[in-house]
Amino acid sequence: MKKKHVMALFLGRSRAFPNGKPVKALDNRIGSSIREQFFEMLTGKSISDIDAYWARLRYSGRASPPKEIDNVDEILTEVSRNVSALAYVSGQSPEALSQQGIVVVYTLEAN
Amino acid sequence: MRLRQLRHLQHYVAMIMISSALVLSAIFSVIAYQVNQRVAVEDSERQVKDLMAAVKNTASAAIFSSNEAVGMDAVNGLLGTEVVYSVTLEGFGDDLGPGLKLTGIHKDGGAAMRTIIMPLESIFDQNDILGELRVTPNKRWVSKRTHTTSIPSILGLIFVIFFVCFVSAQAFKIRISTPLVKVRKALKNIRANSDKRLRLPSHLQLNEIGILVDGFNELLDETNAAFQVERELRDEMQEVQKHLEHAKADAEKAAQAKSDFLATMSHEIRTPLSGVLGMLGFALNDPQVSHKTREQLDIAQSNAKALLTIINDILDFSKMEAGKLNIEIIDFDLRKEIQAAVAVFIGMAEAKGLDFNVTFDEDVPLYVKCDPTRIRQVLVNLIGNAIKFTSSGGVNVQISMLELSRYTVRLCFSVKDTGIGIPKEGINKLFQKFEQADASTTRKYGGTGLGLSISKQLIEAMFGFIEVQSTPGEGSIFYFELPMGRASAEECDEKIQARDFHSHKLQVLCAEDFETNQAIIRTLLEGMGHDVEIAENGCVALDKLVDRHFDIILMDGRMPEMDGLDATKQIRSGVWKEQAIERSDIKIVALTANVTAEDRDNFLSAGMDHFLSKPVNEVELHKLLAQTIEELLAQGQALVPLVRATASELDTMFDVSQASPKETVKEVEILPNESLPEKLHSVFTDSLPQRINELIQAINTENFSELGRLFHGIRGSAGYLEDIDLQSLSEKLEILADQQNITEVRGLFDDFLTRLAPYQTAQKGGDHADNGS
Repeated sequence: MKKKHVMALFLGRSRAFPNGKPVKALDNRIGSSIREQFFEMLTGKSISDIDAYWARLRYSGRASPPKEIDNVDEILTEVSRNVSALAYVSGQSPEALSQQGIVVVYTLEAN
Repeated sequence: MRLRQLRHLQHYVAMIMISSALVLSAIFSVIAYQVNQRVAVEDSERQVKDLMAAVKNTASAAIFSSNEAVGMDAVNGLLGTEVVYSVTLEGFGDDLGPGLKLTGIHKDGGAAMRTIIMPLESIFDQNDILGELRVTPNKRWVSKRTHTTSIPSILGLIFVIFFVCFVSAQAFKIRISTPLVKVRKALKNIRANSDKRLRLPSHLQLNEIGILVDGFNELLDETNAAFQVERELRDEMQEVQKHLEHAKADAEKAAQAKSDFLATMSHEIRTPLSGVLGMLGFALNDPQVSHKTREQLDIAQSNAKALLTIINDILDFSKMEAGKLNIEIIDFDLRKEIQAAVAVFIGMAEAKGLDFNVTFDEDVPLYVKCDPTRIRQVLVNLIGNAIKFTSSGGVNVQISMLELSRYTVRLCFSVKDTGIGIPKEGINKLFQKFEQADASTTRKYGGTGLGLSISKQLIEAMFGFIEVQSTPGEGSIFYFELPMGRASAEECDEKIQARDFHSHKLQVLCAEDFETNQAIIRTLLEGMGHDVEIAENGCVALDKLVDRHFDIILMDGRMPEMDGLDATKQIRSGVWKEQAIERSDIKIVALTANVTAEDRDNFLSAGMDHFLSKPVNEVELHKLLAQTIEELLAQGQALVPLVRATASELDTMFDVSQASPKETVKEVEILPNESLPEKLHSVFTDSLPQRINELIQAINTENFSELGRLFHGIRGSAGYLEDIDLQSLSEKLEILADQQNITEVRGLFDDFLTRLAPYQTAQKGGDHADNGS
C-alpha cells in the first residue's frame, strides 16, 4: 500500500483496499500522543487541522470518522478479530503483531 | 439699440456656456459611468474571489471526502450573496474516490459574467488537484453597483461644470461686456473739443479692453489735435476770407469808380464834341460861309469826327473789358448800310489819289439780320487803316457770299489794299490791344492800336472771325466772315419808308442842360415837325409838365439841381409841388451819353421807357417818335396831323425858337396819307419790266438762288401792295425755286405773268397820263 491509500482510508476518503476489500479504520483515543504523532507523520499537518477537517464534515451532518478506541490492547484485539479492521500502532514489532494474526500493510517511518 | 445688441452678446455668451456645459456634462457622465462600471466589475470579481477563498477549505474537504452535503453547503454559501450568479463545484474523481459535480444559480436570477475558476487541491497534498470551483459574478449586481456609485459622481460633475461655466460667463461679463458698455457710455459722453478721456478701473487697464481704451484715447487725442488744427485753419480761412472780401469790395469799388469815370468821360467829352460836330454841321450848311472858311470847317469837322472815333474806340474797349458790350440783331439793307459806311472814304481815297471800289457779289442777299452798327464800325476801321497805310494803288472792298440757306447766310467781307503791308512778326501782334505792327508805325501813322483789337472782339461777339494776309511792300487783305440771318424786304423797306416823314405832330418836352445839345435836339425834332419845349433841368421839366400837356419827354441823364433819374421817379409818383401830374405814365426816353448796360438798368428801374445815346442818331429818334405816335393813336389820343417845314424855314425856326418855341409851328403842307403806297406802287411798276427780264433769264439758266431772291422780293412788294393773290403765288414760286423744281416753276410762271399784267398796264396808263399832262 501507498501512503496515499493509507491517508485516504484514515481520513474518510476511501473505505476499501486497493484490491476492493472493504476497510473499517480504527482510531486511537482523541488527545493521545500516538494519534497526534500518527496524523502528523501521515499528512504533515497538525492534529488540530485534522480535527478541523473532521469538524467541517461533521458540521454538515454526515461525517464518518474512524471509530475511537481507548487503548492499544483493545485495538489489537479488534484488528485481530475483524478481518476488515485497520488501525495504527506504535512500538510493536511486525513479528509480534503477526503472531497475534495482524497483518502490517504500511510502516510509517520517522524522518 | 447698440446697448441691446451688447446685451444680446451677453445672452450669446450665456448660451455658449450653457450648451458647452451640457455637452461637457454628457461626455463626462458617459466617462464617469464607464469608469464606475469597470470599478464595479473589478469589485465584483474581487468580492467573488474573496468569497471563493473563504469557502475553499470547505469545498476542498467536500471534494476530498466526496461529501455532497458539505459541497452543497459551500455552494449555497456562495449563492447566498448577490454578487454571485452561478457556482459550479466539481470533483474530478480518481481511484480513491468518486467524482462530484454540484451546480447552483442565484435564486433571483441575473446575468452571467466572466467565470472565475479556482482549482481545488487536496487538503493534505498541495500537489494533488482534486477538482475546481467555478463562480460567475452577477451582472445585475454590477449594474446596480454602477448606478449607485455613478449618480452622485455624475451629479457632482454636472454641478462642477455648470459652476465653472457660470463663473466663466460672469468673468466674461465682468471682464468684457461690462467694460465695453462702460466704454460705450463714456464715448457717448465725450464730445468734440472736450479734453475728457476714457478712464477704466485698474484691473481692466492691462487686458485687451485696456488696450482698446488706450487706442480710443489715442484716437481722441489725435481727433482733438485735428480739431484744433481745423479750428485754427478755419480761423485763418475766415481771416483770409475777410481779407478777400475786403479786397473784393475794394476791387469792386475800383471797378465801379472806373466805370463811373468812363461814364463821366463819355459824357464830358462826347457831349461837347457832339456840340462841336453839330455846330460844324450847321455852319457847313450855311450858304453864306465863304469858300476858305468852309474848307477850314471841313477840316475841323473831320478832325472832330476822328476824335469821336478815338473816344468811341476807347469806350468800346472799356465796355469790352467790363463785358458790357452789347450786340443787337436788327433787319437792315446790307448794301445801303455799307454804302453809307464807305461813303466817307470815297473823298479820302480821292484826296490821296487812290482807287476805291466797293463790290458786292451778285448773289449776296439784299436784306440781312445782324448788327449793322458793329459791321459798319469794323469796316470803317479796316478801310480807314487801308487808306491810311496805302500811298499808291487802291483799296478794294468786296462782299461775297459763302453759304446760303433759307434763313441764314454766311458772308465774307474783305478789304484789300496795295499799302506797306505787314511783316510776318507783326501779324501776330496785330489784333492785340494797344499793339501795332511795330513801334515806328505809331510815330509815323498815329492811332491808338485799339481798332483791330476791338474789331476782332466785335466780330467774335457776332460769332464770326477775322484774319489777315499780307506781303510787306505789296499790300494786305483783311477779311472777316460773319453768319447772319436773312431778312425780308418789307421789314427793311418799312423802316426806310417810315424815316421819311411822321404822320402826326407830338408835343415834346426835352430836359437838357447843355445849350448846344438843346439847339441840336430842337433842330432835329422841329425838322420832323414836332413841338419842342426845352427845360434846363429836372425841376423845370416838372414845372412845365404840371403846367401843360406833353406827349413824350426826352430826358438827359445828368442835369444840375435834379437829374433825369430823380425827375423820372418824381413824374412816376404823380405829384409835384402838391400838384397832380396829369400824365404820370407819359413816355420818358433817356437821352444820354451814358450807355453802359449798368446805366440802362438804372434808367429802366427809375421808370424810363427807352433810351437814346448821344450824339442822337436821327434815324433812331425818328423811329422812336413814329412808334410813340402809333401807340398814342392806338390809345385814342387826339394828335395834330403832321406838318413839314422847308429847309429854309427850318433855319428860321431855329433862330426864332430860342425866344418862343410855340411860334415855330407852321402848317405848311399836309402830306396826304395815301402818298406812301402810291410811291411804292410806282417804284414797283417802274422796276417790273427789268424784274421780269431777270426772272426769265434766271429760269432759262436755272439759277435757283437768283430765282428765289427775285420771287422773294416780289412777294415782299406784293405784301406791301396788299395784293394777296400775287403774294401767295410768289411765295409758292419762291419755295419751288428753293426746292430747285424747275418744271413746276415753269408751269406756274405763265399764271404769274398774268397776275402781273395789271401793273404793267397801270404803268402804261401812268405813262399815258404823264404824256398827256
